[in-house]
Amino acid sequence: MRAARRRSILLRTPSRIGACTLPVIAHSNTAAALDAVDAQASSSNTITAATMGRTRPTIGNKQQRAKIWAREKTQKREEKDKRKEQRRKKRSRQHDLLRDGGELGEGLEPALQPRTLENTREEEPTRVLEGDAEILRDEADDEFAAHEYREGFSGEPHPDFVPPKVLVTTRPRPSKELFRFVADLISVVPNAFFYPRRHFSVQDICRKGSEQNFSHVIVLSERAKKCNGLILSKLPHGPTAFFKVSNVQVSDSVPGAGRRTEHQPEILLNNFTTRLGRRVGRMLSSLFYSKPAFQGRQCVTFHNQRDYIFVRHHRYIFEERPVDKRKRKVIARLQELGPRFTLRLRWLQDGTFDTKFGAYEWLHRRKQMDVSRRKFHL
Amino acid sequence: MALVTGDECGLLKLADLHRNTATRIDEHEVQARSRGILKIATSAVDATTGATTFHAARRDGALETWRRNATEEPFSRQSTAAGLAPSTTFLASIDRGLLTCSAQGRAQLTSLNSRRAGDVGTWDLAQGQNNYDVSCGCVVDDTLFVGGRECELTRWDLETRQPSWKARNVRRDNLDMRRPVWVSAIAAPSAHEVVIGTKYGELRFYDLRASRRPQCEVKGISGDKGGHQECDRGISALCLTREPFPGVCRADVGGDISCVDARTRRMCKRLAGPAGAVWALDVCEFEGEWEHRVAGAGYDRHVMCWNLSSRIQAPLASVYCKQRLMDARWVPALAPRDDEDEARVEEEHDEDEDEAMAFGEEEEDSDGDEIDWDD
Repeated sequence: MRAARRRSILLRTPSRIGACTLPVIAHSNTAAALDAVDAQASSSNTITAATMGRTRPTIGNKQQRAKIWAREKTQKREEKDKRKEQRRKKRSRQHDLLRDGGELGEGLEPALQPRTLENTREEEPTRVLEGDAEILRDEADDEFAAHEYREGFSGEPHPDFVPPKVLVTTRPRPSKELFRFVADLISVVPNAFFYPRRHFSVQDICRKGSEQNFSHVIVLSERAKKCNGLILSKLPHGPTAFFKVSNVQVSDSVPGAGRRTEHQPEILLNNFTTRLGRRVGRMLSSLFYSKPAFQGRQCVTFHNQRDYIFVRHHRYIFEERPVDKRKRKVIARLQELGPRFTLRLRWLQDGTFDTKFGAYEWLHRRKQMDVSRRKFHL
Repeated sequence: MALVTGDECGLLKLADLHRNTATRIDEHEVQARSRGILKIATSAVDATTGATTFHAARRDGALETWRRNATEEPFSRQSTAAGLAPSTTFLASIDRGLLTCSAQGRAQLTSLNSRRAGDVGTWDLAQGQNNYDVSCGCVVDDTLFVGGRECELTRWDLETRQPSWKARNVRRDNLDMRRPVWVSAIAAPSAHEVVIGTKYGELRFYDLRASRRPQCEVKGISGDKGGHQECDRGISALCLTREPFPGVCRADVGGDISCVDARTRRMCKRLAGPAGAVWALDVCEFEGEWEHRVAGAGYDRHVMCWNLSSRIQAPLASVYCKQRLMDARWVPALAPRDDEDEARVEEEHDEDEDEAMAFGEEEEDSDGDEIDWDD
């Protein structure tokens, strides 16, 4: 009976057993061989290579078993650390050698890359390749092309250039916390104006905004006094995007936050690689005047990671710092200005806001699209 | 098998489902949204020459005809006509020529044959009504069906150019409120049977011989949250299926595609894949591997093809076309050329030889081991 149980355990866990240095056992003699190994282990009260790493409990005492398992784990970790240290030393030696003008006998030791969701991302067919003429021509003719800064012959802005003008409003009856976020948003986005929502619908606001030459409408929504949604609509013909907003931190709550100046910020768009991602990136960047004032050293970053868009507002500062008693070195550092928040695209619609009859360019379908953790859309 | 696609930038492309590639039909085509493709229609394949012809209506009012011989690879532009309304909502190729219809209700018949240029005619579907808004149309057996926003489904006789039937609005709802009319897609299996889709997500089956009101109404279905939920997103495209069941495929502006069996008038299948609005659905009528397959194209920039006989919802093939697609139509596969045949036979022969070498076989042995199935 015992032998039969052991055999069943053995057959259920072949891969684990295969990992240790168990002697090759023929199927018919499995039970006998296991009994022999057990007898040897119990008689000598030592851990053999055959018994280590096995899932089947060969040592009856649980505390002993746990101790041995912990020892084995520590040993493995130490070996791994040792290998890592050796690699680091070797790389350091190689770099020193190269710096001194020497030649390497063998190739440079490659740095190991960790496996992450981003670098094991599923291949996206809509990824935009560098210099794709067809897509560049399309982008030169799309809804946001008018907001790209172009200079005319005399050095003044091109007559076709339209500076962005943004209308910011909220849901009806907003809370005080939302007003603080609105104030921050207006300070980040130049040429943005707040209008109270009152009783108007978003469609009415879009219509009125178009009449008054606004280029964008932003509508913020909230739940439990936390901003949870942002509708961004390009006027007068769309598109409209709806983002889920999370992790909002207004400027006051950002530690060490600086004060922004009136300079036009630079825009950084990171990792918007797909066709949809580029469109969303262009939409977000069209909120800003596309000729930054570099002397302000202010920068708004839209960093896309796993379809989450992290929005940050920084100032970069060049400082001289002493390296030793004689030398001084210029270093660059960042000062956060705030606010910080995270966006996630829920849908992108053609035309201005119309959830009833509008046609969706992209709609997030959780059940269909979120089946793989390594599939990203932006 | 391939599909001709037209996008909002005015590019016509040939989407090859076998090779998973989309190639531009004309490399030198000017790319501009003002020249965007609105509708594509295919003519019947020429029985004598095997030539394939399709027509494209553009946003700038141009109407183009493209033609390809049976064995000649690229399509070439045959003619271009101007003067269409910039809001063409419907284009069909019929025996007399090309029939187009604008959103304002201006129907135009353009002859393809230059010798019958006098046959070109225009008439007003609105018949003097203001705010007449045609959204879609369908031609079957010398009969034109049109419908739109506050424009009831109407049948027009193309011979007399007179309306011969008009639908009545559906009955008032439980609150005794009038239900608004907005026909967004039409498909007609015959001159007396019509299926329409509305902007409110309803699918209505009409029998013109029986009544002016629909025989049956099917609500919209969505699978956003898993399972089936009722949904009122507007229907954007319809197509009729014959195999494996007689029915209708409907697509909506949110990218949901489902099939309704015409016998039971119930939803019987749902197709997955599109991420945005689907503007075109087409069933392959050409014999071969892709016969009865359904293709769809839309705002998600992909052409997708599904097999209705299969239980799998995912598309069989998907081709990325880079731009937002406005229409797509099946075109027949090219007949293989003689030199292509020879090349293929040679390739196959080479492959066989390579395999035999890889397995250490010799030609003589393989001949000797040949099984005689007659025994």
